[in-house]
Amino acid sequence: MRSSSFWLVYLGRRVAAALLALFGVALLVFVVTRLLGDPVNLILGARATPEQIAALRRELGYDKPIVEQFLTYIGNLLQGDLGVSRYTQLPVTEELANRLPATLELALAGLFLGLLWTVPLGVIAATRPGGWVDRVSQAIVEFGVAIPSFFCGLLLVLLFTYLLGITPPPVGRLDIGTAAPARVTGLLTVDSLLAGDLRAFGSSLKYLALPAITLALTSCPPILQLTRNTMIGALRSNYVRGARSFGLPERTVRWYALKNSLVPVFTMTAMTFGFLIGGTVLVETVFSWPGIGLYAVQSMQRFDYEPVLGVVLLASAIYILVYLIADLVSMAIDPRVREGAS
Amino acid sequence: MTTETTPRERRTALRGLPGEPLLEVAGLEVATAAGVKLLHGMELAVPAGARVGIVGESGSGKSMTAAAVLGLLPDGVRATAGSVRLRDRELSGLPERELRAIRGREISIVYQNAVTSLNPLMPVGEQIARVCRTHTGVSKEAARERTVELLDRLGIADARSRANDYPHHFSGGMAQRVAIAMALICDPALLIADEPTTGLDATIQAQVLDVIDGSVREREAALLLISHDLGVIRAMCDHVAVVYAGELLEFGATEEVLGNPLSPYTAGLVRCLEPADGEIAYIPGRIPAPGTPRRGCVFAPRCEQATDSCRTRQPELSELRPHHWASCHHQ
Ligand SMILES: Nc1ncnc2c1ncn2[C@@H]1O[C@H](COP(=O)(O)OP(=O)(O)OP(=O)(O)O)[C@@H](O)[C@H]1O
Ligand code: SF4
Ligand SMILES: [Mg+2]
Repeated sequence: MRSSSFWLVYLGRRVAAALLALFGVALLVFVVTRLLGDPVNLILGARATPEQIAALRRELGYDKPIVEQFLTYIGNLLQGDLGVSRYTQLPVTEELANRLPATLELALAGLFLGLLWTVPLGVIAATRPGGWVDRVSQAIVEFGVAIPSFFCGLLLVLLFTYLLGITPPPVGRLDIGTAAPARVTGLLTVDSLLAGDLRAFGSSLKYLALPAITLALTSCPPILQLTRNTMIGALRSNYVRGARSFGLPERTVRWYALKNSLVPVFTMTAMTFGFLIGGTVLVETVFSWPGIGLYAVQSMQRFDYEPVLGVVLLASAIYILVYLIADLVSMAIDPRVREGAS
Repeated sequence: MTTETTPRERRTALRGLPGEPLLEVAGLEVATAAGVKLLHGMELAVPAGARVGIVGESGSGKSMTAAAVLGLLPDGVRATAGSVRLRDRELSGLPERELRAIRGREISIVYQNAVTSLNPLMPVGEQIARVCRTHTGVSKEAARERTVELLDRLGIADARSRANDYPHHFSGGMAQRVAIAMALICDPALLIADEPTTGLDATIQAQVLDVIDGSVREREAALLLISHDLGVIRAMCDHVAVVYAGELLEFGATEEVLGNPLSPYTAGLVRCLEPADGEIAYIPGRIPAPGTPRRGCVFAPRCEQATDSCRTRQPELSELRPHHWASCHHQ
């Protein structure tokens, strides 16, 4: 085990690297949104007078040199100010704080369901490659990879809402007549349980089900593939042969193999989660899910760039954080990773 | 109940060796799922406390025999006939649960390249203690004490703290000692060592062999040593089995077999593994690939002394001299 000063230095280095990465992302997105065209003309339309245009440019700060605009943006950013959405007139940070929980709840639920089906199936498939479990799970994987997520979502809505009538129509997170529980985490399922409000819990679960299943089906197949393949390799490894030849119970042997497969599987899970945070856009659109993806898309359509920048930065920050957690877990599992970190 | 004698109950032709019989392999056939035979009626005998070597060209079935003895054949490979007996117990066909109780407890194995045969994510002491506890049910502390003691006896300096290290912290030779400790922690009656020093430096090889030799003697355990090095076999083994293409061709006391070989294959093997000065010897041709149809003596295509009868009739393994068996028509 390393001393606490090792961990301080390690974490310090990782945080510095993360800040640098975020700065890069901010720069990139800033430049790209500015390159997309001056929003002023797009906002005011062809019939605007030059005076109107100039006034709006001044108001938005677009009359300043681009470097200065960027520096101002970064300066505000450092004070936790992401600007104001021109369309809603609300601070972007406030909007994000309102919408992030919806995305988090969806992404977490999708990932949870995804892990629930991919990891066990991958492990079972690996014990009998080519067996029926393997073949069935490969078929599901191919379906999930081939079908676009929005289409999968529409299919599920068609089946479960319109044909079977089990789930509510794809609009939002809660029945209209149901009051939202007191906000603690912002995750409706969690908050309703905390409030002891089973009705709200059931309602939020019903709304969450289809988009979460959509994500679990379309985003998680790589986890299954990776679990299966690393597990097959582990089960054929010398240490598994070794453990068997010393008479260790098959349970222990499988656990050795699984533990040795966990590091890559965990890394893939982190990547998938990052992807879900940034990539729920289509699913949020299909299900009118009031998350940050939908917010980014709507803002983009209105040439309202501050929110877009904010969403991208937030998603990147979460991605980096999740990656750091994955690395820490890998270090906890594997001594070689731990020693490689110094 | 049938009264028919199945091939599984066959006894080995190698009977009458001095000492209590410990391991007996008779008529062992092993085949892939596609029906390709890898072992063709393998025979082997290891008396209690004896040290038996197995030699033979690469691919002749040495490791496969060891795997079959442990009941740990690779995926898709199965034993289709023959018998593996440990003392009075027939092992072939035993349920997995009973085999598991034998592995690591009565028969242990050390492989080539020990570092990779240990779980990379677990301190070595814990792995050894786990084997101990799996088979004996002693307390955690007792298992740990035993582990440290054994590591120390096997020449690992500072054993108590080294037990907390992970496999990748050990050099090849030290990792091999760890693997030997794992194999010996339950005092098995038979230790199988499959090329345990291949890939190590010459000096380290000698040390590791010394550790194996010493600890086997000390426990009066039997040793089944697979090696390509006849010098090692001469130094460590009282008996030697010469295998070829999944069959036993010759068996007997080491000096007898290597000094006065009965089988031309053994003679060829000795000549090419221990060439006279300035000589580069080899056996022309190569070992038949698994699945090659067999007729007559399996070595005939490469044998200088082969005659027509060799090519049509398979020789039988028989005791041609006292305690010295070979399968060859021309002795
Ligand atoms: N998993 C497997 N499936 C099918 N055939 C195999 C498998 N493993 C080994 N064989 C074949 O079985 C035969 C015996 O192999 P084995 O490993 O026992 O040889 P060996 O005598 O130990 O050789 P070496 O000295 O190279 O270790 C070889 O022809 C080999 O190709
Ligand atoms: S039986 Fe014939 S072919 Fe076979 S080893 Fe003896 S002499 Fe050679
Ligand atoms: Mg081998």
